[in-house]
Amino acid sequence: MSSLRATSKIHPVTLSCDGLWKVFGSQVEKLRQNADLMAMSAHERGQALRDDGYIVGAEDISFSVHAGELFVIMGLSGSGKSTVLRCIAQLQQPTFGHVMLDGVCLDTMPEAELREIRRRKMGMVFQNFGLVPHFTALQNIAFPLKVRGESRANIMAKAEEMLKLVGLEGRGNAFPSELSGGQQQRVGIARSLAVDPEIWLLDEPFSALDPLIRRQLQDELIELQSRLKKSIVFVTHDFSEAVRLADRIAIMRDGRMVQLGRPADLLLRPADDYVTSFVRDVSRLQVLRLEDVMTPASKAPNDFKNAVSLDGKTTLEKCLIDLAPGQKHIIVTGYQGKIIGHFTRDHLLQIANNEGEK
Amino acid sequence: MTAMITASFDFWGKWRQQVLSAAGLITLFVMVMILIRPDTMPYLTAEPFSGSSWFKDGINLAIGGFVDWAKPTLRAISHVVEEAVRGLQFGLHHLPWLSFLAIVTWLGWRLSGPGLALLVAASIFYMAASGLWIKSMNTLAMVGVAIPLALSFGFAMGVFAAKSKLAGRVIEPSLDLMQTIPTFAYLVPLIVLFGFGPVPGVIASMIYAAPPITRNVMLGLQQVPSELKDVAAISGSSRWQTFAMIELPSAKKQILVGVNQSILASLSMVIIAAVIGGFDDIGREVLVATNKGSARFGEALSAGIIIVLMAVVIDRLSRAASDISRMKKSLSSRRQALIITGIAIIIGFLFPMQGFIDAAASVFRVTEAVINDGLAQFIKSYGIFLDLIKNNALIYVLLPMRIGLEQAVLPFTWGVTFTNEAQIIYLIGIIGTSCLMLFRGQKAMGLFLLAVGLIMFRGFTALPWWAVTGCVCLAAWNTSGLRLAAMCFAMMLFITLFGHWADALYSLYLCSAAVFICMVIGCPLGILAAKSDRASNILRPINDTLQSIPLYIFLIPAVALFQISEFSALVAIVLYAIVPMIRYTEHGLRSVPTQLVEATTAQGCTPLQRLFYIELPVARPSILLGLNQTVLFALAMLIIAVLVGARGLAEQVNIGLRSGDTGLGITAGLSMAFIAIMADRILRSWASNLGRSQ
Ligand SMILES: Nc1ncnc2c1ncn2[C@@H]1O[C@H](COP(=O)(O)OP(=O)(O)O)[C@@H](O)[C@H]1O
Ligand SMILES: [Mg+2]
Repeated sequence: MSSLRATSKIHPVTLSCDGLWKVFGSQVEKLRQNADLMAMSAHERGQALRDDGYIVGAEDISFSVHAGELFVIMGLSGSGKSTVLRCIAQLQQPTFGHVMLDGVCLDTMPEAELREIRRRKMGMVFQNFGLVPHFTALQNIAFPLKVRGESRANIMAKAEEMLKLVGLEGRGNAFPSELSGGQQQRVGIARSLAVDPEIWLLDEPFSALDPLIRRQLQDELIELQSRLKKSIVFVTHDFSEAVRLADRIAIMRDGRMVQLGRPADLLLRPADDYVTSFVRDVSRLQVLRLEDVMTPASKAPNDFKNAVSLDGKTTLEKCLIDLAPGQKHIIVTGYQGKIIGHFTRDHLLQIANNEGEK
Repeated sequence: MTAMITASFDFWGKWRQQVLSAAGLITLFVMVMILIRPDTMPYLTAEPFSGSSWFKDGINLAIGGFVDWAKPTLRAISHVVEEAVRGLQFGLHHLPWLSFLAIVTWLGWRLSGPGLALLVAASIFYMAASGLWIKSMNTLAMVGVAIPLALSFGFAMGVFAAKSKLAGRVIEPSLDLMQTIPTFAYLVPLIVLFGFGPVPGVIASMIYAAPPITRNVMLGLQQVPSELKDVAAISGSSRWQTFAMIELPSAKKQILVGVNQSILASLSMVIIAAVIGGFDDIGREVLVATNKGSARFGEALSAGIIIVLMAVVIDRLSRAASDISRMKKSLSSRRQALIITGIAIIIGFLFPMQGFIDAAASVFRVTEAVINDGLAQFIKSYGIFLDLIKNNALIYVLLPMRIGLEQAVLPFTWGVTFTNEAQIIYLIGIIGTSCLMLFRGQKAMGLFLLAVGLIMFRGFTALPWWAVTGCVCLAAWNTSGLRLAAMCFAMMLFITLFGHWADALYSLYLCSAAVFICMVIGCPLGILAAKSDRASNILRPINDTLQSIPLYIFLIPAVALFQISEFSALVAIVLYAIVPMIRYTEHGLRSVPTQLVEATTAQGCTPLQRLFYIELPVARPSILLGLNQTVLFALAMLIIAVLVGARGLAEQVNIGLRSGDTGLGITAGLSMAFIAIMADRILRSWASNLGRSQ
């Protein structure tokens, strides 16, 4: 948690949800006027609503996404991930609570203003791609720009650029039906990035794809993000995908957020059995980095001999491969080579052994 | 509290069946009493509200007031529409036939290929050669104005209905009404409002042809994937942008289906509107020739063929045009289109080929004369046979249905006397058999037998109004619920209040007779088509043709063979209304799951056993839907059949039309619409109940 607070000092908050609720059922609008209900604690309120036959899609969700952060919402299907994302995008009106983008409240905003915000600051990718079948790839990408009323030359130049960005040069005149699933989602990604959004929302973008293609697109996303540094909310039901991509993960279950933290936090300290059940299936060696497991210290202990210096971001797996047979001690370095902690080969092997036993 | 209410509903649900059956039995019992001794209770059997015409008068007054109020505006609209028709007419009259042929043929070629081009060329050549060119062009001028009007009107309604909940709630039910009100019925007020000439026909066509496009626009817009709407929203597109760029193109395919249907409906209505007269079009030609009976059969036939050709050509052209990819290709050659048109016009003026056309026309006249002679010969030699069919149908089916066995069985018709003893034996037989069936649990069959038996005894026209109302409401209640029952009650009440009870019964009788014949002939044909691919292949194109030609044409052969008579009307109705019966029966039987068929075969069923015990029961919902369509088709045709001798409500509408009695026309038309709506709703909920219970 300490490192998170450290980042928040450097990176401002882009998006935040504050006590967000989405309730499905009849006459939901009237709930807000129900003083009894509003006075209850979140837990009581959820119970009361469920008892009254409402479906609670999202229950008291609060989090913030920092500039350049890739925030993942993970949970089984039906756990309310899309509901949260759609509330953020204002595709659904939150029942209670607020969504703030750049310090501006989206849920109370007039239609026209919201439209303007969407035209400039939001991009979204959909699970089933959401490509317009009667548009070509290029026209699909150009759509948000066209809606914004830009000049034709601008639109075409920008759309071509986006097409190149996702590696689909030359396929611009193909219709969605003529493209493979992976290519279609690339078009979807290009479209959502065309307006150069500040917040990028992705709802299970790779879930409809084959594992191989999924992996490839994940890599491309990581590569894209390293260049573009967008603030991202990424929804998935695949924990290994979440762990691969995320800076931080929120785990959802039945509309509630059960845990929020960095991948390593979840792996090392799962909040309950539900989270543990996900954690079980991922390889610690691939996810954990030296900085997650080291003993923090500002200088190497005296008994360290012949120690190697490794960056804190190095994964344990890489560390295991890179370590020469005789080397027993590791000094972990951080920003500008400063020592931030240390670690031993024995520790590493112990973690690897535990992993092997599972 | 809530629990108590729920419990009482449960209780009611359990008893509902019993209560309904009891009420039905009581109604039938009283009906039986009346059927046996009508003279004992005159106040129960008399025509309701006879003599009191305050309702009718009120309607007439209201309409009169409205007409006076709206006339100036409507006459201005009428003027604009008339100018448009006359303008188009002027153009078409002055365009040489060869140019017209060349341009449309080229269009057919571009849109589809040589096949369609050939069809178009042959059809247009036929119009020119038959000597009916001017009349054909007059019809086209009306159609040419009516189609765009209908399409834009229907489209606007569809968009409104899809976009606004309130508009949807108003438009949705009025679509049903627009399509079920018999076509003649709104010609009457339209004539009053818009005057004679082509305009009422064009406006009627606009109203009649709008629903298909409206329905398809609504359907298309509702079917736009919600993800696409999300995409539009998240991109920040305005309502208009979303509509124009996303929703409309997505719905295009569905909308084009509606366009095709609307165009055909529009043509059909323009032809029907010929009864108004005042515009020398092809429909008029058919009507006049048909009314002269078999002596002018040849003329009616050659004009009728033009109508069929027009329908086929317009249908094929519009369907080809709605194939989007081809459309793009042909639009890319706009310059070519201009050049072709130019050349065609020049050629047309250079070579009018008047002599050739005159020669061809005289060939037609000779052919028509030959056909007329041939028909006269045919009637002379086979007239006895035709009369035999007609008379037998009249004596053994139509007459008993209309006035009852009681009066129809006479020595000079049936050759026997229906003595008192025989009557009592008949009644005991009917009631006994149906009671036996009721006790053996075959409720529906038992009641059906009882009803048919009693109706045949006394005849449709003697049914007491409250008993029919009771039975209809009970049927509505049983199949759907209280709401439909209440609606049916209101509609029945209106029919009696309008003073149309006797006419309604007569229409009911003719319609029932036609539907009965359709069932008797259509079901076996459907079974045959389901069992044999060859039969299916023969029947399908026949059915397609019967469906796509305007209603009018059915009158021609009916009148040619059986003169102007009730029987001709019946023949025309059966010809038109039998198609859905055949189609739905075949469809229902063919969609019986193969697993089921194989399982029963494995159990050793003979094909006949399988048909009766498995396939027909499974196909019942589909067959019922077919029956529903047949009833609606029969009612639609009934109104046209008035031109060749049908009576009842249709006749009242026609009288209203000719005498300018708006109230009479509208109330009679509404009554027919009510009958159609009630039949439609009851049969449809019955079919869906059956479908659900399987
Ligand atoms: N429009 C809606 N009406 C009623 N219930 C809904 C609606 N949308 C979602 N839900 C319910 O909310 C819950 C969460 O759905 P969703 O957010 O789509 O789940 P996820 O995206 O995690 O699979 C589910 O139980 C779903 O049935
Ligand atoms: Mg989802």
